[in-house]
Amino acid sequence: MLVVDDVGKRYGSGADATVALDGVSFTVAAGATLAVVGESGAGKSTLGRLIAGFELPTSGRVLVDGAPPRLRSGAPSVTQAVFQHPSEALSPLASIGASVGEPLARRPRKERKRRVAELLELVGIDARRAGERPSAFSGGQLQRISLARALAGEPRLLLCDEPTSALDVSVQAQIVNLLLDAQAQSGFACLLVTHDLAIVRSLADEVLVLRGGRVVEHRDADDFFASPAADYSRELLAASV
Amino acid sequence: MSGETALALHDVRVTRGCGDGRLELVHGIDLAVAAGAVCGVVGETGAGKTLTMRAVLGLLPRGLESSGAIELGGQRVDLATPAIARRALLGRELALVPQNPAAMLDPVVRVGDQLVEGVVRRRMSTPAEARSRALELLSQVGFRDPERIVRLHPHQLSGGMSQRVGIAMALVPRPRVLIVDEPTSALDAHLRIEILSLIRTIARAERTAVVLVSHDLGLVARFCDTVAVLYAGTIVESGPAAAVIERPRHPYAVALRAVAPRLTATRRARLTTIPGVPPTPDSIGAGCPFAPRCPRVEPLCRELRPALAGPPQQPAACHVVNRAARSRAPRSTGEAHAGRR
Repeated sequence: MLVVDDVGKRYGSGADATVALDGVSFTVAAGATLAVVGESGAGKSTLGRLIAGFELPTSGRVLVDGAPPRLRSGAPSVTQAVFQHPSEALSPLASIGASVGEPLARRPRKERKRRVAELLELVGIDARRAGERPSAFSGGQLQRISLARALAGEPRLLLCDEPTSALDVSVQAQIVNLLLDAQAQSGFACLLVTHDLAIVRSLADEVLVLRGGRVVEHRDADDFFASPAADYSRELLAASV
Repeated sequence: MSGETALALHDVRVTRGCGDGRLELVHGIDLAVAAGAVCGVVGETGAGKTLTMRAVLGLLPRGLESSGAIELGGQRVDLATPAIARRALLGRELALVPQNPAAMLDPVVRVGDQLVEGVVRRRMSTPAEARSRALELLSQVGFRDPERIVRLHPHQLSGGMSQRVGIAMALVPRPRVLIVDEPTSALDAHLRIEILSLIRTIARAERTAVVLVSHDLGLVARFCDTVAVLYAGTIVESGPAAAVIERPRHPYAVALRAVAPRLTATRRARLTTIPGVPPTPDSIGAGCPFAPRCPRVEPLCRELRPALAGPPQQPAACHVVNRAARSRAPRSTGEAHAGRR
């Protein structure tokens, strides 16, 4: 579903250039989740931006569902995203129903309304509240709503950038369960970017450790947690509480 | 962790509004922190952790009022007095490391000048003394070249660097109590560990009492000596951190521990969740605020608000667990009492 092939990304040119990613390769199959971990500056966010199609790689290629990611107005992308701060992902002026229904703009009105209600119920939000604005909801509820919005686009690939870091522990567990259920139902591939290894444990099939733009380790999640191969991975594990 | 109490809270309350519209947000917090010890205050969003600490600091937002008292190194301070009257304590006896220290730094003043400004203006030390204290603290918080750091402006610092500068700044006046609010929620895991280790080391060395406000149980388990668990504006359980985290008594503390994602979990297994949502201040009835979500709820819980009770080293505000504890081991609890006296 997602192919990242020898991808490099460089900002600036000549001696001042910053290499954000260097020779990164991996694939994620439909229905599977790959977690990308690493500290700030490791290149996690850059990788996310390349896969979403916000930027182009300097070298190598990114393929989502067999084609380079493209942003087209009017049609929902095959890649949808859930970010750390849901309040920034939803328009404060639009009702949550309108935000969730936006990717369905081409559908008949009645069908759109029905689908929005379905999606809200799926993420555990009372569909009767579809007319309310984001300010009426808590952080955990907003994260559910932004997931509903991502699912409305029927993504083949879901990018989750720190989806739980801004949430309380009890709410984190709800979002983790929701992601597991949604993936089991829709079969999208998932790329999870986070520094929280406990969340990785709960969600990921494979773990990829990035450091300074390079892949330090890429393994099955069970193997990674049982015996991390790289020194750096062991450091990351030791730093997790 | 032994030693004199550096900070004690007595029946600290925070209210909003007046007359019929009066609403209590924090319902009488009692807490003691020993000099050199780290006390964790854990709870979820809206539990009242930050409000309680802001009441202590005299930094409540407009429209909120505090009552109760604090004891700060033997000095009793009434929290019902206007906060402005207590302002002298702030930055001298009490210091705060806010959630986002970068926002606290003045963008147009060099780091070094900001570090010493407070103590010099209050004539707590001479500029030269303050400067050497600041340099020493900067190297303690992990800067290898403090002389260079003091000449920088805040925009030249990374997130982790501003966090460390914020800690150094709070410590310059040698406060009796350091309040650290949701430290490092924006930081990488390893940086977070580094910064908290640092705070703990400095606290031990300088006999500073630290209150660590956090929603992260793992963090609290790792760095705190004692912990208080807050729910809906009350302490539901308190005691030694290891006991409260590993062998929690109150059903809410038990649930919090159960829902936390763990490294030892099975891959892609669903996590336990707490049903329902925390109550809003206006929806709390007469009974236990956790009753609507509690797996062990009984009719009494919905009628009578439980008080902190049970073993004095680990009291919990729960009718059910306290009754169970009493019936299970009345004698041994009595002996524990006797032993303490």
